[in-house]
Amino acid sequence: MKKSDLVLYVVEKLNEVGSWAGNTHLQKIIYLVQSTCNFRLYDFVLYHYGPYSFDLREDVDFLTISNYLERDADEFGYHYRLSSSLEPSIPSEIQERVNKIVKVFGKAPTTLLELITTVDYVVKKSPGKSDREIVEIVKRIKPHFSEKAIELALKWLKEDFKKIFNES
Amino acid sequence: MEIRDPIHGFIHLNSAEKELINTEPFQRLRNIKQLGLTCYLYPGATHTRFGHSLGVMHVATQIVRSILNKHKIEDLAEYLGLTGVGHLKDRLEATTRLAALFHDLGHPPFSHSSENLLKKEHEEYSAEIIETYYKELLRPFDRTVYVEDLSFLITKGKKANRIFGGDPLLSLIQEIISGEIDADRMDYLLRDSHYTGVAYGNFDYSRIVETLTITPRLERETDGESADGLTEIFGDELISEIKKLQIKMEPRIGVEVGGIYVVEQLLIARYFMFNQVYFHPIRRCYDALLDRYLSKVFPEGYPEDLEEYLSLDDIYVMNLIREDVKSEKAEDAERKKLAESIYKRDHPRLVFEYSVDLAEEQLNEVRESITKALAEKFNLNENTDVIVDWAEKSITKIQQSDFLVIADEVSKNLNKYWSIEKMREIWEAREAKLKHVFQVSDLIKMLVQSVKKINKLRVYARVRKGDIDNAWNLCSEIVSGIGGGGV
Repeated sequence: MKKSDLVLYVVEKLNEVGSWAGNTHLQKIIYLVQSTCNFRLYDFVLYHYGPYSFDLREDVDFLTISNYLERDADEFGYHYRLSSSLEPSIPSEIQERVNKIVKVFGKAPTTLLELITTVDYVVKKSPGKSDREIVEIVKRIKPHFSEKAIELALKWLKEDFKKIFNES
Repeated sequence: MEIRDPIHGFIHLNSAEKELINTEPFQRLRNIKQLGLTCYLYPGATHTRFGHSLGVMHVATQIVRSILNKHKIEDLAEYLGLTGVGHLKDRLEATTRLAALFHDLGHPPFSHSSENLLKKEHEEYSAEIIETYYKELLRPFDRTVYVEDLSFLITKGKKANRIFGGDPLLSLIQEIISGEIDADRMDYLLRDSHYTGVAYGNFDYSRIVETLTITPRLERETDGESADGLTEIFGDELISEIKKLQIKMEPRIGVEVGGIYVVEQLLIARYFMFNQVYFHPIRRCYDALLDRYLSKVFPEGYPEDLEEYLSLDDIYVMNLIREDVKSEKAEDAERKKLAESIYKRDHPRLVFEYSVDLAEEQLNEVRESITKALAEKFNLNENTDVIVDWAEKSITKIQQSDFLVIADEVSKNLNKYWSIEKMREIWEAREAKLKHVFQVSDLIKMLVQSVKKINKLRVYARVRKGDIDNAWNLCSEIVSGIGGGGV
């Protein structure tokens, strides 16, 4: 699977569900797809709004200047769409995963995306840490979230996230 | 102490910074030219990464000071979500200065000209050099500079720091050093312009630094309004916590409306410098010759071992070139020929030039077909006598960026400081008071629409002057046939 195909497919699906399809959505959706699948196309680090990949951003810029993606801007900001009807080639199981993640998070506010992906990122980077320790780390990194919000996000990731893929 | 710099005047250093500069890895930068072999074309362009690194440190410091002139440190702490000021001011300034100073430590010989031989990016070498050689020397910066933070900043997040990089202060520093209108870009444009003598690269530096400021990030969906409808998936409690969140005052670097003309000037300067210097056909030709020569010297690429890597600089390579030229043994005739081309400034002629957008597969096909056809027709060696070069760059990346302009009515009412109340007002009314830079400037809008990127296909061949037309026609036919359109 080519990285550019994944980016184009996610943009296409975000637009289909009526997402704003800005940079934050694109970054966080691809993070979640990668986090729940067994592949690693991009390296993510924590940044302004949670996990962020500079390489992904460069790819998006490159796809834009190469006219595969169109970036529209208005007084509210910007969003991406495909420039023409393309058929990105990605495996069906990844397609299915993208579809489900986009359905859940495509129209979610960026604050929710930031919280969920940051908690997931810290969990993955801190094997063996207790829930309490995870909450403390996230609170230190993202002090604007309440402890309660972090706890609830952690609980949702542990108990409910898999359900969207029909996995127990 | 202070160092006299032709671009910025006096650059001041404290004694701990002086210690850092007087180290082998940093002094090595004196022997790495900023613009590779551009001095073969613009003889003045012999300036080095050493001067540039000091310059970036100076510019970054000026930006920090300009920001701190407008925003109280207590307010900055609040934007960053910190509970207290602590060492914030010192940390901001010291970390910015050192990240700027060290950002090019890992450059290979002749800067970007030999980057193809790198097994990892030069920024990764920079971070490894800091981690290996500077831990002890950074002790005087205790509590203000952390090695991990420098690695994070220099590798643009590839190496995460101790809290996984999730530090809003680092995001701010990152923008100062390598954002859209950053210290690195400002210094290299001014410096390269000065040393090449190409005056187009100049811009009103002090004005732009004076007008840089902190803006909030402009993103529509940050306020949680669209959380409705998600309660079924995430539950009432989590969504109501999200809705309670105040607008996040996360700081970014932007410009006051008064700075818009100098932003235009900087972008145009960059456009000119790419066309006149960085993508100049002769410079590109020597880059290609050097790359081919070094590929023969280092068939496996540059060493990954730091000590070995640090022993390489321009002088080392030029000595090799001279030895090859003087050598009577011709074990590798192509290597000798390439060495001679550089040593004697004997490059192939430019026989074809065309602005065209090619996909990677098309480019490979064009490259292969043209090389073969020219070699056959003019009896040339494919490896030393023919070069097919593709120079591509997005000039107006600012179009993709979040670089914002604070609208006029706000900046007019300011006294010395942007009070926290004023900033909150901007944050809350951000959709009215902030604009993307290309929405405010017709000139930038025009530039991003008409010049999305520079892409030039160039062919060089060792043919006689009288054969240039024939070579041109041959290249033109091949490019048209492969999909590059009419020439």
